[in-house]
Amino acid sequence: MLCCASLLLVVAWLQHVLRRAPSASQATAPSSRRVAAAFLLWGAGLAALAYLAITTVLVATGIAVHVDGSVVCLAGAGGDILPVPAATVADAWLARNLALVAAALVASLAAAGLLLTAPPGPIAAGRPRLVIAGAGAAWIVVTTLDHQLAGLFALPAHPLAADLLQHGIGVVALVGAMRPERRGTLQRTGVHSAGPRS
Amino acid sequence: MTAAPARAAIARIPERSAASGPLTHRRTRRLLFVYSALAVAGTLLALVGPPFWQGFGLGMWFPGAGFALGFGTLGNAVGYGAAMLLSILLFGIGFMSWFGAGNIVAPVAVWIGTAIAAGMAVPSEAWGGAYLLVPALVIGSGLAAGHRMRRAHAQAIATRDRRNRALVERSAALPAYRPAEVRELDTDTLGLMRHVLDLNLSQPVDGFEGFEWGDQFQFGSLRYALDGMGYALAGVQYGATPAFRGYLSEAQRRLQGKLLHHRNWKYWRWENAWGHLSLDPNPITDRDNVMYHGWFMAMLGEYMSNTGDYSANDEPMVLRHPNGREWRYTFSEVCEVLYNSHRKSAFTLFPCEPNWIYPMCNNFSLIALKIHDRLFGTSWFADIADAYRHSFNNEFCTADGRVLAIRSALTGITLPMLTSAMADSITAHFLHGTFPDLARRSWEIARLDYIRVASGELDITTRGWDKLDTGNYKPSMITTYAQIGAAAAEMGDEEVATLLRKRIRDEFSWRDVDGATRLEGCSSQAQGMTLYHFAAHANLRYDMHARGMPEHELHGPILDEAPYPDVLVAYARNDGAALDLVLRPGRPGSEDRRHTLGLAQLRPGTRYRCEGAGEASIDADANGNATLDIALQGRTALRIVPVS
Repeated sequence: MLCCASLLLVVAWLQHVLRRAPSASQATAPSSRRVAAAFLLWGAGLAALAYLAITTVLVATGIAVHVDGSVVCLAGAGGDILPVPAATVADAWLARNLALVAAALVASLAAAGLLLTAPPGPIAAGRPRLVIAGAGAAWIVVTTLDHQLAGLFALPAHPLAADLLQHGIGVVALVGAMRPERRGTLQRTGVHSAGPRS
Repeated sequence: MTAAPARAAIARIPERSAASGPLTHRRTRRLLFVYSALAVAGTLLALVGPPFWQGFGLGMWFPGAGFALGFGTLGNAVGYGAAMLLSILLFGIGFMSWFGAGNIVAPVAVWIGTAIAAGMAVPSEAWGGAYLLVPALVIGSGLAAGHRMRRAHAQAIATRDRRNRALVERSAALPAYRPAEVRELDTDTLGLMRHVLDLNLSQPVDGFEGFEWGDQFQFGSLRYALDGMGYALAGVQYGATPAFRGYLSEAQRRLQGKLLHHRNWKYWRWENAWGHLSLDPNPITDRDNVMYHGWFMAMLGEYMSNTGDYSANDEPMVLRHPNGREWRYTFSEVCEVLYNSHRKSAFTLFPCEPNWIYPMCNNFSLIALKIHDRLFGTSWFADIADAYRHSFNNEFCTADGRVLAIRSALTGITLPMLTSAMADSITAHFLHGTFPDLARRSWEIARLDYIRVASGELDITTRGWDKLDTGNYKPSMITTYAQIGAAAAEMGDEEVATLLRKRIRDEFSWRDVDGATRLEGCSSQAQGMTLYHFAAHANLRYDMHARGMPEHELHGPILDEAPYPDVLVAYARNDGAALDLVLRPGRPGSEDRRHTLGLAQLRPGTRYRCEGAGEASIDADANGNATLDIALQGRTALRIVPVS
């Protein structure tokens, strides 16, 4: 249920982004769109890499344990997590890791390609936000898919909180990136002609 | 005003055998020693310690190196490789935070944090090959970098010799020094000036509507936009309207007020916290932060020198923190802080962000000291000049004579991508009044190899930040065009200055709103620079800093008031007795209406003949003031002459 809600959030966000994208008739739109997409993809690649690194460390430190793939999201809340030896899931674990590396690589290469082929033109501000948004969205997707399709590890201590935290990182990043801009790039709306007489 | 120099000169590139100066060499050697000690200690720890210390110790070689212990199987290698890569990326972000905001805690914390993570993640069967792989990677990279640096240095020596030969030839061809002219502003420049003036005059000092900036830490900060506007308006005052005060002086005083606003120095609390582990928010410090008070005092010094208004030295300026704390300084007191900072620093040049020295920012501190010496009889600039020159040449120039944009005072490292044609030009422009031979060298090197003109076309070799509007970080050539253009004008290279003005006209969208011109998509910092580029001409900044305003301009008759924005002053100068003005309407509707001008510093009780004005004559009152009603019709030239 939570996983589905997370994915729905990503879909809603993508629709929001596409609606706000500049129209094709605007002179700077192709450049802006490509560059914005590149930064989103960069964030996505980073998220895939970070997720792989963090799960590796969690399993290595014993905070997470290998399971046989039958544990789905929130199932651990009932306390039925059964650890299995690493060798049991070694092949599946390798395939899952390679898939994450491939995802990170494809996203990074696509980002580089988009940047290199973008026509010259002004870039919209807020690039760090785009990276964070891309990372947040990718984190939600990757954690959800990993849980549902692979299910090769679980966090036995406080599993419900761990699941919420695991997916919640992406939601927090995405929501944080969507907050209105607070930094000062005030645009002048009109020139006041009534200045001081001096 | 001081005497004129005989002739411009070009400093030669100093010959040195090493790639860097002795102090930098000592800093780099210290860094290598500390690093080597850490790596050796880490390795010993890894060899004799339990699993956690194996990962942690190996992690001392580079961020994430300890994860190499997990490379034993393919399944593990993928995950551990990702962890290593992520550690390096995070360290890169930490390094950028150190460079960008002086946050020395960030890279250290990331390095230690990833070493701890690697220690916790050591697998039960650690891969022994890690003890060979990690040192091999570091030593191999070090050897490759050393080889590349030796080749680059040999190339730099050859380039230095070629450039020195060319500099000798160019030295002989330099024209004799000519004082800066007072030159009338054209309508393009007046439109650009309207925009800058509007930003400052149409709102209170604590208002920032219409200003556009990138961040409040790095070169896109609002403070640089404000300083840049101040330099531009001071340049206009010195080079076109030395006998006008009015709204031009008022706008500069408001810029000074804005710089005192907490918004423009609150960044220092953070930089001081994570750079020095101190919570003191006072930005006036004799240790670093020359990017605030060095730039600010240069701007204030130019204003004081141009106008004779010393109120910032008679009454202290107040830095007011929202929590109620206040710090009060006069111009002289801040200049003394700058002087002491130079004296205390081993490099003579001192840092902006904690530990990062930018020669560019130090050049503004020099301007402040030079002007202070001239106005108040100190010898602060003279005291540090030799040490500064020596350090600048040896520690902040490449072996082939280019000025480095940055050097870490702690480690000696630099970021080569910031050494560029635009940076060379800024050095040339703002060092002209303090070290004219070094400024000329910087310009001539740029003209030799990076700024070329052929068949009326300009070719600029760009690098790194040259392609950014440094005020908002958007891709744009505006900063490079304006900075190179201003430097070219200062150096008397009208060909380059004119070609760049044409490029700005052709490549950017000029939006006119009620007589004020704004370049679409450009930052406020770029707007200020562009204004100055359009107003600049030969030796203007040199004369302003080194010689000051001529006495007759300071004490002769001046235009003290003009209605803004209806009356734009394109030219105003006096010869000690008569006042010459050229005025233009500031916006549609200003023409064919009567406007009242306020004149001051006239001879008390004297009658003046008004040539070109509606009134035939005016009488100065007992204080030397008078008013004059005029009707503006396009370009309106006036001459106010005392009737003997």
